[in-house]
Amino acid sequence: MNLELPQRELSKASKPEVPGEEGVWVVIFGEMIVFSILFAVFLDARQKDAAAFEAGRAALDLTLGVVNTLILLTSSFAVAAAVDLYRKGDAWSARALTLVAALLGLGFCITKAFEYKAKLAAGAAVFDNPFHVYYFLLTGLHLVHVIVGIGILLTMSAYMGRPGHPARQRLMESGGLFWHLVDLLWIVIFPLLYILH
Amino acid sequence: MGSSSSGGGERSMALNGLDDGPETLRDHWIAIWMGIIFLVVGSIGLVALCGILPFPSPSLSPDQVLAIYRDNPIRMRIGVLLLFIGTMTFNQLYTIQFLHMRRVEGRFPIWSYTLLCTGIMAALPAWLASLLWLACTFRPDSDPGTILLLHDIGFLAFTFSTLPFVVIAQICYIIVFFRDRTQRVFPRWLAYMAVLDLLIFVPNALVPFFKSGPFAWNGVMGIYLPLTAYSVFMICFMTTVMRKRSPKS
Amino acid sequence: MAGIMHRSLAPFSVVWAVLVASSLSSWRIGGQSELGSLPADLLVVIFIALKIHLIGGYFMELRHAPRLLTLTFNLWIAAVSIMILALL
Repeated sequence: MNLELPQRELSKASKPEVPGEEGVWVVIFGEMIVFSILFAVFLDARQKDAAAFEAGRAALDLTLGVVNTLILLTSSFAVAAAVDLYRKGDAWSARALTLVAALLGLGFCITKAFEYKAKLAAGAAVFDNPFHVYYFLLTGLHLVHVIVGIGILLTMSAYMGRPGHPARQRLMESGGLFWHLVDLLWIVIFPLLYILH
Repeated sequence: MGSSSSGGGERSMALNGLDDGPETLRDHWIAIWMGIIFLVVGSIGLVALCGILPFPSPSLSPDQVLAIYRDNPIRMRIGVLLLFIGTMTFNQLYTIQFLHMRRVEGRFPIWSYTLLCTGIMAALPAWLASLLWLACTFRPDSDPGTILLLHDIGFLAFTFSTLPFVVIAQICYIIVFFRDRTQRVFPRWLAYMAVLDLLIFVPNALVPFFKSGPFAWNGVMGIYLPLTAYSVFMICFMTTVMRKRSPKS
Repeated sequence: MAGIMHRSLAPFSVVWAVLVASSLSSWRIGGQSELGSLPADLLVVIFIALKIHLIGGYFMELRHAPRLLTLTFNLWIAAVSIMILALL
């Protein structure tokens, strides 16, 4: 099976182009670095209090975490497909897929809400365990990015009704890149919090 | 600085596309150097003030906090004095930012003037913190409760003060992304850098809730990352302002 | 139209399938505590690196990007993977 990516422009030779607007990679790499720092701080804190962190980890709902991972992976797939279809002129399908991705993002938020509610049912005592402090911090920060990402996806789908000249295509790519960032961060956060011990 | 290089080709390359004379260029450089010098002086004050650069943790015991102010009063007072000088770093830089943004906006430069006002607000917390720390060191044997309170207010003011910077980043983002379409005074990646700063500044709102960890006032997300991010942003901003570009008609 | 869609989405579908399979495998590996701690953790981290590499390469279209960009991205993956393993 040919695994070559659909070419950005069907007639172009393979001249390397920066995906999306160049500036968006400032945001992407910047956020990757910020979260890496937080991961390092989390791992360092865990080394110092391994028992409490393990107890907290064991109390997490692994199934919900996996569900969230699958949701985000699928939404990333939808966004990648949407951006590519938009480039090829199929704005209707692109719009539909972007909305599907936004809907999946909403599903992520709802699942998260269930998780949070279950955790906070015990009240503020939940924060006695430092693991839960880091849990809410990492997943909460990520959730903020998810919400911003959903906003971006909705904006993208609104603008997909108009003809796609190259500048607009680049903006769509940039929006998609942010969503892939959100997915990518969760790919690390999920095992870090839920699985590794 | 290229203001009198060879021939007509060089003459058409002006400061960020401005058509003004060499005086403007010189003023820009004076302002930037003032900023740099004030920043260096202020940083020395900060290091002298807090001993070593890492800020004291919010979870220090009262005795440890009092010891900070009682052990080295002369050094702390000198440090605070230098820090006061450091609070003057950004005034002229904000004016430069403001003036270049005003070029972009039309008859009602709302955002540029808001940037100026917000810049003033942004410098106030550092000034307030310096004043409070000065009070702490002025009479080290005054009431311990008072010293602790002033210590807390000072550090909270210094670190829990990213809200004006959020607004500044938002304005930069609006101007570069949405308003600067025809003249291209600013490169688009500057807007993305402002977005990144927004994402870094907003979590700073968690500082009041933590006495240790990354979101405490001595934490990486509490002070060090926002400080670094904003410094890098200002450096990038000034660099793009100072670049040579031919004036657009 | 459906034909075009099907053909051009094929690589994305394959990548998605691999990502889902990796995630489910990580879940399985991590869930069992019999598989010794170190090999299990190593496998999970390898899966993380693989998944992010695929997302970057195919979804974010880094395979068609300038080498420096792709290299920086992959360097980040390597750095974070090493960091996780080191601090585990």
